[in-house]
Amino acid sequence: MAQITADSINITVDGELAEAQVGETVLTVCRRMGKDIPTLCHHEGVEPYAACRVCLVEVTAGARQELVPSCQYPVSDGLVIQTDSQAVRDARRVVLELLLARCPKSDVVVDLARRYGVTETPYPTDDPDETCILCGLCVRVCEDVLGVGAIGFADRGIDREVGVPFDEASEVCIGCGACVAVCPTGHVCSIDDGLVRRMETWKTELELEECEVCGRPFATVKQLDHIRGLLPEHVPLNRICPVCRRSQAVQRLSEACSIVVDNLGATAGQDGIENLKSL
Amino acid sequence: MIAPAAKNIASAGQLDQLRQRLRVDAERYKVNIAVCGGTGCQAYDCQAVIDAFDQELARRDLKDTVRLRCTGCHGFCERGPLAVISPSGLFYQQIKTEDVPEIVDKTIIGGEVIERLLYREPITKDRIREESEVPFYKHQQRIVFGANGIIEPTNIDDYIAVGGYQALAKVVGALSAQEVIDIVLRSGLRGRGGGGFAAGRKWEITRDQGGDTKYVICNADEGDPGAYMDRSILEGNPHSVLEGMLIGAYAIGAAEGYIYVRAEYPLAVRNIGVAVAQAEEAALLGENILGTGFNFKVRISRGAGAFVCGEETALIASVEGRLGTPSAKPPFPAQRGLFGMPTNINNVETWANVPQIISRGADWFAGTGTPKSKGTKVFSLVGKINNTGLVEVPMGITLREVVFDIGGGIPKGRKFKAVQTGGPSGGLIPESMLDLPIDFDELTGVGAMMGSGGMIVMDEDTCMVDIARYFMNFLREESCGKCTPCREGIKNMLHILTRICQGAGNEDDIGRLEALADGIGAAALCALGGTAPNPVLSSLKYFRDEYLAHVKEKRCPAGVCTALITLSIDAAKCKGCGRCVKVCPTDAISGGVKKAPAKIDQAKCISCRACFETCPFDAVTIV
Amino acid sequence: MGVDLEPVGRLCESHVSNRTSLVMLLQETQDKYGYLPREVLKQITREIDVPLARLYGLATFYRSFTLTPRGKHELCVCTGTACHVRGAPTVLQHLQRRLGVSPGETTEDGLFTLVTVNCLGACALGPLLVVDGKYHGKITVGEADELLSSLAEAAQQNPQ
Repeated sequence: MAQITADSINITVDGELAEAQVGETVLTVCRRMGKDIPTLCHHEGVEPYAACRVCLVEVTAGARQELVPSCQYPVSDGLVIQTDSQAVRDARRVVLELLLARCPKSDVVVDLARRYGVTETPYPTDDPDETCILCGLCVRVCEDVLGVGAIGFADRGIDREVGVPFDEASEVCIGCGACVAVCPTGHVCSIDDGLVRRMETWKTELELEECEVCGRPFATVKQLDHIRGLLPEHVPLNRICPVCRRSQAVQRLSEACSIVVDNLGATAGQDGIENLKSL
Repeated sequence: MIAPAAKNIASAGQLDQLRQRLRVDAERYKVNIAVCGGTGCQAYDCQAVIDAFDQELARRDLKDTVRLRCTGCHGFCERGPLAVISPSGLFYQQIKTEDVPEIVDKTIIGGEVIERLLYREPITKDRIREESEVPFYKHQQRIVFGANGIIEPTNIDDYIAVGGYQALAKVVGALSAQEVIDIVLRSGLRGRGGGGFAAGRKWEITRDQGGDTKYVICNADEGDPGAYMDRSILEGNPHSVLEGMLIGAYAIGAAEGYIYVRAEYPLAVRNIGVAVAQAEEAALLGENILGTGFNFKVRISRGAGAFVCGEETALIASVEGRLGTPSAKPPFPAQRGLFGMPTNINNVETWANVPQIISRGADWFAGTGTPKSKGTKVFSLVGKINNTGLVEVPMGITLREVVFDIGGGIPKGRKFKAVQTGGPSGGLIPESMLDLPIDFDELTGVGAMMGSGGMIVMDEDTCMVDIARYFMNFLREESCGKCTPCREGIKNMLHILTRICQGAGNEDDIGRLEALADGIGAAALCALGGTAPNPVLSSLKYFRDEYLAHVKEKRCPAGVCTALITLSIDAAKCKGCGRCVKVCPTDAISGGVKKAPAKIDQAKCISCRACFETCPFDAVTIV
Repeated sequence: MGVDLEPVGRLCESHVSNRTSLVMLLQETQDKYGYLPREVLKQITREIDVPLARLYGLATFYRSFTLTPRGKHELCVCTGTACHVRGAPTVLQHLQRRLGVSPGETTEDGLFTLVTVNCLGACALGPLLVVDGKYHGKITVGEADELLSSLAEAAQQNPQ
């Protein structure tokens, strides 16, 4: 992840001078400036991957001009960036034509392609139902962020795919659903059915646990065990759903407030007390 | 095998003493026999020849006066198994085990020459006695390969005896890191792996990074099909690579190195493993090398079958035990490489040049070559060429000299069509450019590239559309699949090319290919994808008419694309031997018995060309 | 179809103590078993803390690994460029047709595994067919046929 340091540098984006921090990526700076750069394999919570190639921008460093992935490319002093040059648009268009041929039914791909004037692709489609663009976010969030590694890449080249090893139910998947949340195309999906969470894409079923307060199933047993393992021993794990947790937190806060209000009552004015109560 | 005498060498002085002692020891041998033991000759079963020599020498009690060596590759793979007998330098080729007693009898004892085993110049029909006089060798300049045919790669003593590790002694004893880098910079040595980046500059960048832990890596993942120079160096002179790495590590400030070697090269894996073990025994690898306080150790990492691992970032991922998928640069390996540390990667041939540059000086090295490409380059000259083999030539030599003077031209009197260089990242060089001097920038300028040094010669029977299709198929198999343009784009280029080869292409397909090629080249993540379109673009540039013949006339001018050809048997040439009848998978050939000419039933024929390849009388014709 | 899991412990131990990479561990495992049995990969995940998905990813990414046992004889056609221009495709297609398998597959009788390799660097001998490690240079379709027949015949006379 980009580290923000005190070192400020100057770059030029589409002819406009801008300030950036050493360690930032081109994408971060450009987005801050309100530039429209599409991404598919990028997610703030995961390390840059530079695989989908729709975020390409044109940079000039010295005499060299090249297309680079903005999601990963670090800014440097004097860097000149073009986010919408002819070369950028041409390259994105080719990439989108290829993705459209791969995933003709993916709304995300179809919409993005349309924005670049691609409404049909010259290339054939192998599987009209394919929705995975191989951005790898599910695999990366599972292994790099959560440290679970239930899913992975298999094979290579055009045969590359994401999935569970040997295409059989995973013994280690905790059913946390992070893969579902980060998937940009909806390829990865899960369904909660009674006390069972079905990770459809990974052919894996997990038992759900009921909230200690409201009794609704809210998280998988394995997920809670996983979190338990990450917490220090003395910290208790409440097996409570997010909704109940939120209302409990509100409850606690208002109790705390009333104590504060009681204590402050003598010194604070009436307006201050009303403000605190409204929290 | 003789156990090496090199053990625990504690100083440069001891190394020198050992070398002198080894030279004196060597004098007791009156005759030296060097049998080529490279992979090419092993395929001709040179081991049987070596065993026969060993038995014969033992039987005649000659083992104390005749030294038999199984050396690395001599280069002339076309003529194996081969041997050089010194001091006369007699060069025997295509030796059979049955020849061995006669060689020992007549040549080694009797001092006679066996004419039959000499190389015969195909045009003048002269018999040539010495290796250096054979045209294949005569035009070469062997710096990197100099010792290959002389030393036994599995014995460190041999390398030390010819001056090995002297450059290391000089470096660690008398030169600062900066002085070493300056020499390499001044020599003009450029990386031999493909990119041609200045080696000294690369070392400098790695050295200048902060931190104490740095690595050097030897890239021996020679993946370009038709290229096997690096393998032959590792097989034949592994210590030259280790010595180069030691010198580089000293200059860069690395204490650990890795050799990433292709698993498809079992002999190279074995020989470099033996070399590392012997160098450790000799204390030339390890702690306090030659008593100077310099430490360096080497680990060997075997590749697991992925072309993309020749790319630096993928190679690093693979050494670390991860999927060999490249990552975007920057950061470059020199900044953040193996295990996150600054790492310098050079290929085998680059490392092997280093000891020579240190020993003989930067000016000596820079004295060979062109203004921007110094020294020699080893090429593997293969394909439709008379003298297949490895050639080491000065930079700046023309392709014509390599193909015709050294390579002896095209077999069967066929017409030269093109040379393919640079493997799947490279391109084609047509006949009109045969006088092009070979150097990094000249080749890049015409849309080809030096690559690691594969030079595949093609004749009029090679279809250029098929070659483009071949490379796209290769890359489809070898793309890692990480980035969209390479993964999806190559698949679609292959799809179009296959369609054209099957006669189902149209003129629009050519434009589509060009658009895709441009897109992939600009948008791909790594060098594999970025250069993947080159074989297509260069064939379109120089052989567009062949594409047009396929799409417009549905004709394959070279007679290769099976869907576009018709085979028939010339009754006048057919001797009725029946070989074609046997190999035909669809029983389409009748006759061919008792000297009656064979005949192809076109309704059954699938144009697989099996009969064409099999017929010994050239009676099968293609239209 | 029990696979002996006993060597796995030692393989993993050597991997940990020698600090070798996972790729090397899988290479040594394959050297031991001839392929990478599913049970063995699962056992490795129990011995060392590594997700099965990562092992499976490596085993399917790198071509030298195989998850299925090989046939009794391995036929390897070099498909390097030099062999290609000298007629390797004809030989390969012929073997595919005759054996009824694609590269990477094993015949139903378990007798032959057909594989291809990108280049063995024995280009002087192209086209090249390697049968159980033995190189057969300048191979023709007819010679390949004869080799196949003699191997099949030997297997018939001497079934295991």
